[in-house]
Amino acid sequence: MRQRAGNSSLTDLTRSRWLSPVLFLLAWELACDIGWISPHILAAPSTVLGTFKDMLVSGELASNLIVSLRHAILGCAIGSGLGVILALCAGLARSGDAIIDPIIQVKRSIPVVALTPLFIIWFGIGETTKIVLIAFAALLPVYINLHSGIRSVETRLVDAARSFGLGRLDLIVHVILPGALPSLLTGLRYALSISVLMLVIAKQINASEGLGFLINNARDAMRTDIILVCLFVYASLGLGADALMRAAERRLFVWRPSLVEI
Amino acid sequence: MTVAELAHFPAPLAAVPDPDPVVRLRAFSRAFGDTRVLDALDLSIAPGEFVALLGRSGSGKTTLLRTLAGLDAPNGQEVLLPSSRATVFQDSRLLPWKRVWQNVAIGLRGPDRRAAAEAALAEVDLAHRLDAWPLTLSGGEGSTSWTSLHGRRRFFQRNCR
Repeated sequence: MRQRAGNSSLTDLTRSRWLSPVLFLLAWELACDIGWISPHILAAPSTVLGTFKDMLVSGELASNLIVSLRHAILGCAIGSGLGVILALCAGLARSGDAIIDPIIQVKRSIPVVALTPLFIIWFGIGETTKIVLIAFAALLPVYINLHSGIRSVETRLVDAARSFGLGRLDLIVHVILPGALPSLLTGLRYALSISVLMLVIAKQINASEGLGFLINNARDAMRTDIILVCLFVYASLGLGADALMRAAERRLFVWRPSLVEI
Repeated sequence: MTVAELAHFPAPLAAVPDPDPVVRLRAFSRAFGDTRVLDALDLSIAPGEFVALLGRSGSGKTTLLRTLAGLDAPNGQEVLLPSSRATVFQDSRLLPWKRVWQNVAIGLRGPDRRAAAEAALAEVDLAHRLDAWPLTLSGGEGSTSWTSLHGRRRFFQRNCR
């Protein structure tokens, strides 16, 4: 059969992972252009792209994105920092575990979103509430992962290191912390994606600037194109955070055989 | 000691400058829950003496060796151990996140750490693997560098874990 050569490009096309998203976009565009879908329901991809460009040029997107990013990064940093400190205290000392772990387990059973009304009463509707909400949500995955990482460092390695006369501090620095690092990174990865999620929720409270403000305004004006641009930005934030963590893992875990080039 | 047996091989007289034992346990007992693993064990080891420890699985060999290695706290019982001692575990226990030479130099301080590790690794023909990551070593290379860790030490002790 000689038809294989002739059909190979077609086969490549049908197997391409780009095909279905591109077709989807084309169908969406077409449906909007011939008027099947009203722009009040869903804006056409070309309109979204144009709006994106306009918002980029006017600086509207950048200025609001920076506000949102600041909240997310600040909240995530505070939450992860606290999570690391608490996990170290609870993971490395039995008394620390007895004091800290029960409180965290109680906190764990309360959905962070349900605390929003309380936080609004305490901190108002300004940016403090948003940052606290994000920090509170980011703390948990970091704590849980690092705590279990510290606890599951192999005893055989700890024994071996102790047999060489390593003291408690050396043991923590050279054996326990490096052993728990992969778990910490997993926790941070969850924390980052939860931060973006909480950003979306926190922004619904009362936004005078930031991506949530853009979305709320767009909703009132039925500007689906602006909403879509913001959704696109949220998605990019999530992807960016994940790529960042994967790059960090590649650098930190050069010793892992799957990543080591022999 | 009821189940495990200790076989003493006295050191040649010339090698015993000091008759005082370097290791001494008096009426040493250890229990896990209701299981009494070691019961009133008396053990003395003189300098230069070789001691073989024989026994069935579960007879308490590892429990005794962990105490002799200083890995388990004596819990107020009379346990005399030399300050300089080394434990050779059966399996390779290199830290995977440290390069081979850093593993060999673990517990050492000062600027000569790397030189000491280099010398120990050269002795076992592994000088070319100084900067390798442990998980990339072959099984043999791993256990050899693990053993060379002990080239630095004078005393050897085998753990039948």
